[in-house]
This record gives sequence, C-alpha cells and structure tokens, in this order.
Amino acid sequence: MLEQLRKKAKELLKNKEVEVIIGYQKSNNNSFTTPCFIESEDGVDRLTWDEHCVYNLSLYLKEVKGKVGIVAKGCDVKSIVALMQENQIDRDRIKIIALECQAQVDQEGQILEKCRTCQVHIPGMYDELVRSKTSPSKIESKESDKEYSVLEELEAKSTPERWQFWQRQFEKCIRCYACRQVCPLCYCSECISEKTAPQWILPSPSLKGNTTWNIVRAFHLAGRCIDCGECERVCPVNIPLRRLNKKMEKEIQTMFNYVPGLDSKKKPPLVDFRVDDPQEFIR
Amino acid sequence: MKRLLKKEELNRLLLGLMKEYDVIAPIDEEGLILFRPVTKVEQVLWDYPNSLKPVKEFFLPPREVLFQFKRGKVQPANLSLKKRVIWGVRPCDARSLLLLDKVFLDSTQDVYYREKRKSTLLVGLSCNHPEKSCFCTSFASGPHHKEGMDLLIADLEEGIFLLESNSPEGEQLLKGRGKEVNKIDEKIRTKIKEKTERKIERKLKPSQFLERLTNGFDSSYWEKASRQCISCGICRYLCPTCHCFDIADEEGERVRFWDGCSFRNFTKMTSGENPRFGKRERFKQWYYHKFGYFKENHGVFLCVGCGRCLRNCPVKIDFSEVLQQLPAQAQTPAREG
Amino acid sequence: MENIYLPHSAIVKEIISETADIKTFRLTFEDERLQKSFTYLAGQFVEFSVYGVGEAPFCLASSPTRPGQIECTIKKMGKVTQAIHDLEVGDQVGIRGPYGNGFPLKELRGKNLVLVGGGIGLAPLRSLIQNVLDKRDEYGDVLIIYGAKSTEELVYQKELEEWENSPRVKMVLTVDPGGEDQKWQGEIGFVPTILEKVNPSPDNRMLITCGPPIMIRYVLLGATGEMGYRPQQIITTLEMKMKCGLGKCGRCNIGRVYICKDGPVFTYQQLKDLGNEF
Ligand SMILES: Cc1cc2nc3c(=O)[nH]c(=O)nc-3n(C[C@H](O)[C@H](O)[C@H](O)COP(=O)(O)OP(=O)(O)OC[C@H]3O[C@@H](n4cnc5c(N)ncnc54)[C@H](O)[C@@H]3O)c2cc1C
Ligand code: SF4
Ligand code: SF4
Ligand code: SF4
Ligand code: SF4
Ligand code: FES
Repeated sequence: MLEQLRKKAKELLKNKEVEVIIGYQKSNNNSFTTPCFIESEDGVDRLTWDEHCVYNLSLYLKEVKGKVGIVAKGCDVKSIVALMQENQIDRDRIKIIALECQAQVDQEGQILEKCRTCQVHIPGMYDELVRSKTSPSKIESKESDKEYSVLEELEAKSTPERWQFWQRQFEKCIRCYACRQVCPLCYCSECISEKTAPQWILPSPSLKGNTTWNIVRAFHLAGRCIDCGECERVCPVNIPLRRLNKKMEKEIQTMFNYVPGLDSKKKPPLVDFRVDDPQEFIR
Repeated sequence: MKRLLKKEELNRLLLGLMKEYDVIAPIDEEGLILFRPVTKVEQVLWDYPNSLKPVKEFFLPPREVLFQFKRGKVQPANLSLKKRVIWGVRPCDARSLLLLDKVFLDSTQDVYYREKRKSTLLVGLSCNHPEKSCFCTSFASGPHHKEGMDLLIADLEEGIFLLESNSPEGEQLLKGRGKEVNKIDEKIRTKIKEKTERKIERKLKPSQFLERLTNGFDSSYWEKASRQCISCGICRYLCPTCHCFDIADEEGERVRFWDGCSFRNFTKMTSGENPRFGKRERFKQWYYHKFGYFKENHGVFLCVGCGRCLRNCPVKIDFSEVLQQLPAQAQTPAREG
Repeated sequence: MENIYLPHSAIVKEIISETADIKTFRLTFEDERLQKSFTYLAGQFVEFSVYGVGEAPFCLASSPTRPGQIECTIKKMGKVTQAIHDLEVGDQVGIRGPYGNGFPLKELRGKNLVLVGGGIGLAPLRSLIQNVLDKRDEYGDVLIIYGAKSTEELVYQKELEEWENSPRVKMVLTVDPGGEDQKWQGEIGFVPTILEKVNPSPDNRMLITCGPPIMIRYVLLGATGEMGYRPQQIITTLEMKMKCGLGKCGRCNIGRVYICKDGPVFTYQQLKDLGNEF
C-alpha cells in the first residue's frame, strides 16, 4: 500500500495538482508516526502508512492555503465531508488520497475503540483510493462491538450515578484545550471558552468551569462530531470524551435518523430548519 | 550526612513522616501517575516513570484562590500551611523548583508560592530506569542529583538504599537511622549512577541554542517547524518549569490559574491587537522563552530535561529535534502573515 | 512581607465624562497613610479592580506633582472597563501598583519636548504634561500634537485650553478627515501627517508618543525619516496584554523584557534592539 500511496502522492505533486501533501511520517525514533507536510517530489519517500497513523489530518486543511493533497482514512474523510457541509473548505482545492484502513492502534498497541465498530474501512469519498491487499478486516468481531455498546455501561446507571461519574471525570480536566485544538470541527475563530463579555464558562480549572466547558463542547458537536475519537486520544488525563460525543450521536440518530459525515449534500439537523418543524420555539 | 537503610527502615521513615507531616507521594490514580496526598505506605509507588503532572502543582496550583470578597471586604486566602513532605520527587523536578524560585522569589516575592516552598520538605528518589524521553543530563542535572532536595534516596537495588541529606532539615530526618555508609556502598552507588547516566541516550548541546536562536528569530524555519503543532496547552501545563498564569474573578473569588503562550488568547488584547496571533509566533515563544530569554536574564535554561513535553505532545513534536534542526546561520526572513 | 496581589481599597471621588465611551475617574485611597505615601512617576500604571468582575491595567493620568488623589482615564472596551464605567461616586474599588518604569524624567530635563498623542493615548502624556507644567523651569519648549478620530473624541477638552495658555507651550489639535464639525478650527488629518507638517526640529528635543499602535508606527517612521530624529530621541509606551504587572504571569514578555516591569516606556532604540515582534 505504501508504494502506491507514495506513487499517487508523487504524481499529484509532479502534475502540480497540489502544492503540498499532508500525510504521515515516522516519528523521531521510529516508534510512532507524526503528521508531515510534503512540498516536493523527493519528500514523498517520507510518507508512511501503518497502524500508527492515528491522527485526523483534516484538522490542518483550513490552515494550509492553496491546492492541497491529504492522506485520509475512512473516519478522516467523514470530517472532510462535515467541513464541506459547513462550508469550511472548498472541495475543489483538495485532493483526497484515501486509504483502506483496517484498524489503528494506540501507543500500547491496543486497537482503538472506534475501529472496533468502524463502518468506513473503505473511505466514502476520495480522489484516489489505495486498497489493502490483506482485507478483510483483522478485527475479530465480538458481541460487544455493536455501534453503541460503549454506552451501555453508562446508560445502565441512574441519573445521579451518571452525574457522579462525569463529575469525577471533569474534575480531572486541566483545561489544556487539546480536545478542542485537535478537533477538526472545533474551528470557531473565537471559542466560547475565550469570551469574557459575557463570560459563559469560568476560565479556571474548577469543577464548575470544567463541567460547563465539557458539556458545552459536547453540545456544540452534537450532530456534527464524526467520531474520529481524536479528543479522547489527546486528553492527557484520560477523560472518556468519546462517550459523551457518542451519546450525542446516538440521540441525534434516534431523533433525526441522521449520521454526520456521510453525505456532503445533507444538512446537519441542528443547523437545518423546516417550516413544518413540530417544535414551537424555532418558528 | 549519608546513611544506609533497608527497605523496612525506609518504610518506617515514611510512616514516621506521615504522622508528623502531610505527605504527598506518587500514586497510580486510575492509570495516571500523579503526586497526591497519601496516608498509607502501601499506596506509594516505588519504581515509577515520572508523574504526568510535575510537582509544580503544589507550589503553583492549577487553580488557586488569591483572595475572596465578601460584603465589600477583601479577605486574603489563608496562607499558613501544615508542614508537608513531597516524597519520591525526581531530580529533574526538584531542580525545576530552583528555576521557579527565580521568578517567584525575586525582588517582588510571591507570598503564595513562598509560603508553600517554606513549608515543604523534598525527599527525592534517584532514577535507575530513565525513560527514552529523559535528558536531564543535558541540563545541569542527572538521575542521581540531589540539588534542590532536602534528602535524596538512591536505590542501591536488592532492598538497600543510600540516603543523603542536602539540608539541615534533611539531616534531622536521617539522624539515628540505618547504618553508616562505607567505601563499598559508595562504589556501588557510583556504579549505578554511572550506569544510569549512560542509559540516557538523548543528548543535547544547549550551549549552541542561544546563538542559533539569536540568529534564527526571523527564519522561515519556524513556519515549517510549527506546522504540526495544534497549539494546545499540554507541553506548557505539564512542564515543571512553565509558570505562566492568568488571573480572573470567579464568583466572589480572585483566582489565578495556569495559562500558556500556546493559546491565542494569552496575548490577545481587547482591541483585537495580538503580537503573537499566528501559530508560528506562539510556537516560537516557548523556545525563545526557555532557551533564549530566560537564559539571558537568569543565566540558566528554563528546562530540566524531564521529557514531559515530548512524551505528552499529542502530535509527537520532539522539541530537541526542533532546536537541533534550527539552522545555525541566519536565514531568509519568513513571509509575514 | 506584602502580598503583591492584594489591591488597596480606594473610593471613587469624581467621574468626568470625556467622550461617549471614555471617562476619567478620580480616586483616593481609603487608608490615609497610604494616600500620603503613594508615590509614582508619570508613565507608570496601576491594576484597577472591580471586585467580582476582574482587574485591568491603566496608566495614571494624574501627575505625582499633584498628590492627594489619582486619576485614570478609561475607555469602555470589555468586561472590566464596562464595570468601571458603571461605577458611581462613592463606590469602592481596588488599586495595586504603581507598576512599570515611567518616563525618564532625568533625560527629559532641560530639553525641548514634543508630545504626540492619539485618542486615549493622551492619558499618560497628560501625567507628563502636568508634571512639566508644575516644574515649568526644568524643561524647554513644549509642543503638543494631539488628535482623535473626531471632535467628539478628544479627551480633556477643558484642560487642553489651559495647556494652550501655559508659558512656552504650543498646542496643535487635529481630527481625522471627516471627523471635523463646523466649529472646528484645528487641523484635519492623521496625527503622523500633522507631525510631519509641523516638523519640529530634533535639536535638543525628545519626542514622546502614545496612541494606537498604527499611529505609533507611522510616527516612528516619520520622525526617524526626513525629520531626522535619532531612535534614542524618541520615547513611546507599549501596550501589551497584562495580568500580574510584576513580571510573573508571563504574557507581556517580548524578547528578554517584560513590558509590565521593564516598560511600558521604551525608547525607539530599545524597541529596535528587542527584535521584530512589534
Ligand atoms: C500599561 C497599560 C496602560 C493602559 N492604560 C490605559 C488607559 O489609560 N486607559 C484605557 O482606557 N486603557 C488603557 N489600557 C488598556 C486597557 O488595559 C484595556 O483596554 C483593558 O484591559 C480592557 O479590559 P476589559 O476587561 O474591559 O476587556 P476584556 O476583553 O474583558 O479583557 C480581559 C482582561 O484581559 C486583559 N487585557 C485585555 N486587553 C488588554 C490590553 N489592551 N492591555 C492590557 N491588558 C489587557 C486585562 O487584564 C483585562 O481585564 C492600558 C493597557 C496597558 C497595558
Ligand atoms: S483535552 Fe482533556 S484535560 Fe484538556 S481540556 Fe479537553 S477534556 Fe480537559
Ligand atoms: S521543556 Fe520539556 S523537558 Fe524541559 S522541563 Fe519542560 S517538559 Fe521537561
Ligand atoms: S514557555 Fe511560554 S508558557 Fe512556558 S514559561 Fe515561557 S512564556 Fe510561559
Ligand atoms: S503539546 Fe505539542 S501540539 Fe500541543 S502545543 Fe505543545 S508542541 Fe504544540
Ligand atoms: S503582566 Fe504579568 S508578566 Fe507582565
């Protein structure tokens, strides 16, 4: 696959179809990978592809100007779709080199939770597709691998117990905002957490401020989060953020029969408006 | 003073401390290694990779109340503190406090910091198993250094520990414990120390940084180097020497809390002006402050080589690489914007 | 030892409305001993607290030569400044300071001065002007060039006349094009343009400027250009986001200096040596 990836990348750069390619390269001591930005044909050999390519590179699309190529897994493509839906990027300047992906692993070699229920091993939108020779998936499917099984434990709890669980989690938050910074959909030029007049979210890492911060963020991603799981991966204090977002996703799916990141023509339900909306407040 | 203690004697020392002091020691808290108040000897980790958060959190807490205002009156926070011991602090972290002292105990002393410093004893633990990301030896420290501690515990392995005091208080703790240290013990100690130092592969030449940084301020290199960075707070917050903070009023309290130069808001003024608006400028400030400005102002680098920044960077930016690849010669200025 | 973050209690004695969104606040300390012992230099600033809302830095617009009270002139911008504007006479506020280096009066003595201000940037210059007028013999000629967007936005309107009528003081007032009204008799044009038009000779003169960053930039360029000022002859105050005012919280760090502690007053030469972050 790597050969093919590099070949396609080289072609894009050679034919001046793109000025830069955002991809993965080996990290310093070869133990993992790190994002890279390749601007010339000779740089293409730095590109790598393996089960350590955890980053969702679509995060960088807004920063990089001009024509850009991006190496993307199925879940990453979902965020590109979401960004298109929200008019944040112009599809015409982006070339997607999509990779068939079986699963990604964390630094300890554990398969990521999201990969266990992945529906997009073959990405849903691309300009170039690099297929794997060794499919089908190497993940053994387990009974517990149903889409929302990660939520079961929490959903079984009573409301006070759930509150307690999340309070314990939010207490740990250090407000490093890595979750926001890594999220491709957290692109607001001024985050609500930075506003001072009025100040919606207490800025210091107190339980109260942390709770508001995490809940406001989850709400703002409802129906938009495409479950790349990056926020949970980067959280230095291991707050299971994906569960919050997954719950939102489930509710939106039940209510509106909508899953974000699959169809660039569709409008996300919470930014959409219909005259026949059953609820009063919107009219 | 140096004494040799067996594991049981060491445990007894710790137990004794718990009776007299508030003891803070490394524990495993739901998978995170953190320094936390402890009351039982069994909770305390012995051979642990350095904690996620540095011990600066006990001197410059993530959130600290400076004073409260009640019914039109300002009520300063209570500064008196029970005597405490931080047990098991690593040499790099102990040294970081000496660097923070330069900021908080200069001519305008910060009483909140000072009172915490004054009422805390540091009992250190030398490292025999440094991590891949450690490089304390490049920054005037080392896995067996006792600088900044009251007492250093060196693990001679096989259940024997060499304790070395480094202050009158530390000596007081040691008095009458264990047995004398002989030449052979010293030799074993030196051997272990040297062996550990050799295990640290990452070696930097910080003396070269200053000149490179001076020449490289306008270099287009920074544009490239900062590209992956997501401008989060991780490297700043988890660094034992980063000390920037914000102050705000929250519900009847004036609080100060961690802040850092990676955030756009850090320098954004109400008018919208922002001298470090761009990611490149914010990324660069970290390097310039630690390895340029602080060195110029205080004669030392603002880094102790604990490796937390590179261990925890969510996109695996390796700062030592960034500095080492900084071109030695001045380069073409980067385009603005 | 003193707790550096604890403000001293002060009472609002008088509020003067300068423009639609600028007010001057006259304060006295509650503690009479402090009221006497509080000394400062023109160009220094204080951290001004409205309890429960926050604190923000403002220059002392009053002069140390007129003790007994301090004054700040404050433009409504955000959270704290809004709360300050909502204050009424008799309200209690918090003040800590003074901070910063202040204007180098020693170097200004015996020299002719040109003071170039824009908008609310006149506040720190006012402190200096009062200082100079109160010790008139110690300084040479004074030329004040002051401008604002429009006539309504000029601050200290009454005082401007007073200054104009003081010995060896020349005032040039200007408003941005379009900002004039029918009664306007001053200049029309941006401050840097007017400065070049008036063209005060750099002989034995120091130029002190304060105002919006863009104005300062053009004043610096203009003065060191054809007008022939050396960078050492130009003094400006820098604005940078601040919290602690004491060189600890880190945000006002530029190059090796902290604007709050080593500034906010710098010569243009010093700024040049700092590198190009400004
Ligand atoms: C040395 C100095 C002297 C100043 N003198 C005056 C003056 O005489 N008159 C006047 O009207 N304004 C002055 N300012 C600007 C004034 O400090 C800001 O307008 C004010 O901080 C805005 O605060 P806010 O709470 O209303 O806005 P918010 O947007 O709510 O800001 C929140 C906080 O950020 C900080 N902050 C935001 N902008 C600035 C800024 N531009 N400078 C410093 N800190 C900032 C403050 O701590 C402020 O409380 C001065 C600034 C400095 C640095
Ligand atoms: S990444 Fe984790 S610790 Fe950081 S702000 Fe987000 S939830 Fe809090
Ligand atoms: S800069 Fe990195 S290695 Fe140095 S002290 Fe800070 S976290 Fe540790
Ligand atoms: S590197 Fe940045 S956050 Fe750290 S101390 Fe320096 S200025 Fe503050
Ligand atoms: S931790 Fe890494 S990504 Fe985050 S600010 Fe530091 S260098 Fe950038
Ligand atoms: S305002 Fe805190 S360092 Fe200058």
